[in-house]
Amino acid sequence: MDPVLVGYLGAGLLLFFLAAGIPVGVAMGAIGIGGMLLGAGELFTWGQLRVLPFWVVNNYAFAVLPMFVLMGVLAESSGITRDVFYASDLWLRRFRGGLYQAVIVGSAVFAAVSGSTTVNAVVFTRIAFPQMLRFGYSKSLSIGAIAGSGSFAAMIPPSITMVIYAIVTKQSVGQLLIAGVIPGLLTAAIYLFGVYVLVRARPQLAPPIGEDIAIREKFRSMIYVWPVLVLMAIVLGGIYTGTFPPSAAGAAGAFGAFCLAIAKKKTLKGWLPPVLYDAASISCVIFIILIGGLLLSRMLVVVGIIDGLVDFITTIADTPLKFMIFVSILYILLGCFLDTTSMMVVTLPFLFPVVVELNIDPIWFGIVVVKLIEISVITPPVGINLFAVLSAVKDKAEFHHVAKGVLPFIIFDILVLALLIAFPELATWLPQKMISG
Amino acid sequence: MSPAKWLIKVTRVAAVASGISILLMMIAGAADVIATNLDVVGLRSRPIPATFEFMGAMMVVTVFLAVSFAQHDRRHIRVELLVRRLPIFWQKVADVIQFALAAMVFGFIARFAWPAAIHGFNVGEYATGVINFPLWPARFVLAFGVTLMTVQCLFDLVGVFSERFSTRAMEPPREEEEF
Repeated sequence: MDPVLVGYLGAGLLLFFLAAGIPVGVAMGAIGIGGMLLGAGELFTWGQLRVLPFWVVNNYAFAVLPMFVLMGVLAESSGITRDVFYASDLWLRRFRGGLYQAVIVGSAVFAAVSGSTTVNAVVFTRIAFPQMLRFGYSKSLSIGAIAGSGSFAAMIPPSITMVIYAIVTKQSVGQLLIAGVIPGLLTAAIYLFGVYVLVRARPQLAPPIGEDIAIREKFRSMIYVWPVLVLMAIVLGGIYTGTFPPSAAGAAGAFGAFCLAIAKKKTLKGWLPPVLYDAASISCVIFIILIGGLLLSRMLVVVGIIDGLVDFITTIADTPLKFMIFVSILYILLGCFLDTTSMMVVTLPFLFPVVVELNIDPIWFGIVVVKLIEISVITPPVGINLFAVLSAVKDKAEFHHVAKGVLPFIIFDILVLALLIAFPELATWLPQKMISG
Repeated sequence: MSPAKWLIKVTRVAAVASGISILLMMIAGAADVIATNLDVVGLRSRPIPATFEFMGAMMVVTVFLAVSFAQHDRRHIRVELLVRRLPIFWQKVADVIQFALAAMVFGFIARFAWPAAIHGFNVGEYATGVINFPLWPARFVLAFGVTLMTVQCLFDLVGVFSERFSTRAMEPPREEEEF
């Protein structure tokens, strides 16, 4: 069979399989195997099946992924999120709309120990939303702030999304993680400023400023926040200075979160087994998608479709700017029905060769892709964070509340995206300064 | 005991081993970071030999021993937006396709994983380093894990038609946490 035809058939079949509810990893793996058999023969296909699954998983460089997953799951189960939010609330009470700001700051800090956007959104919905309603905050803006801030986890390291991008595109995990620091903080800063302006313009969005809290009380609230900041400093500092590789940083971070959880819970009984199973199964699911994606990617390369695909995409988008617009539209559309991991693993085998062809900086492209993912997970009608938040609020809010409330945050995100495209140095400067790439 | 119950027992034991292995990965990685950076506190740094290889092997255990229980729990990510809107008959057709395809993919991987593991054992395959770390045990774990997953998918496939073979009918997965 004509290899190029095999490639195009594979791409069409992939869409069909995804729509038919075939698990993403299985769909990509089946098409990869079938395409290789038809386009490259048995010998090549069997060789790939023998080597690839073991190579992907038995790889120390990729151990960063399960370690970051474990760190996030441990941090969530330890309950430190509640402490982080409580401390943020006390410190920001002097601002009108302080609970919005507390959600944003708390989410940014929690994002520094957790890499999942949906977990962030759900956890803050549970903790912050009832309190916001009780104090008379706008239901829409509250839930919008929570859904929007939840997406920080994709950009602020340790980001699982970033690690997956690095694995699929063979880029440096450390450089990508460090590249996310400035865009992540910039997003949080723009959210804070944007909400401040919104509340100033429409005071009915937040209740009047309440009583301030004694400074001693504020410092006391930081008792469980300091360890989180230390943990963050160890992980990022270690990677930035090249003291240890990302996988070691992940293990140290997970161990820190483990100690923190024990300090909070005072026992190992009951909570640890489900946490370990959760972390193991999340890691497993991600790796199965990665194996499927890499089988698909090998198939596309070996059947020789990549050159045709690059030609096809570059006829639609022949400059980096046009290509970025094309990618932006594609990701926002895909975000309507795919989760972040699947979105990247499904599209990057097709898109990354074009990135190379157009001489686009792969680290910068990675950051832009992550930003697009952040936007897609909060874009109505079906951004995944919106549903995560809705499932967590139960009947206290409806879809129109979240769809309306999230709009300002989509605008803030688009502003950050525009800044990232206009000033690539926002993403590339810090990784260039790293002591070890 | 019915075959489905046996299968649940085996997948559960595998999942427990997977959870323990991720914990061991964490401990090994953190211990190595501490041992490698002891010079910071004025002691002699001494990296723990074969940590990288050990973590790689534990990753194989974590991923491939959790895969079948994740299948039982329906944790593998899929797009349900369209399928959920289909009539029950077509949902069953979609289930048959997904389980058959999953059994095929993992069956193919298993088909080549066993010979690779046996070959690795016969030649004493290891990763070179300060300690020559054996690779073949991880290969056997991979082969076992994907075989178990293949069996789980086949049970799921038959389970579409007969509840006797459905592990989910025997033991419903954990309830989703209510927020």
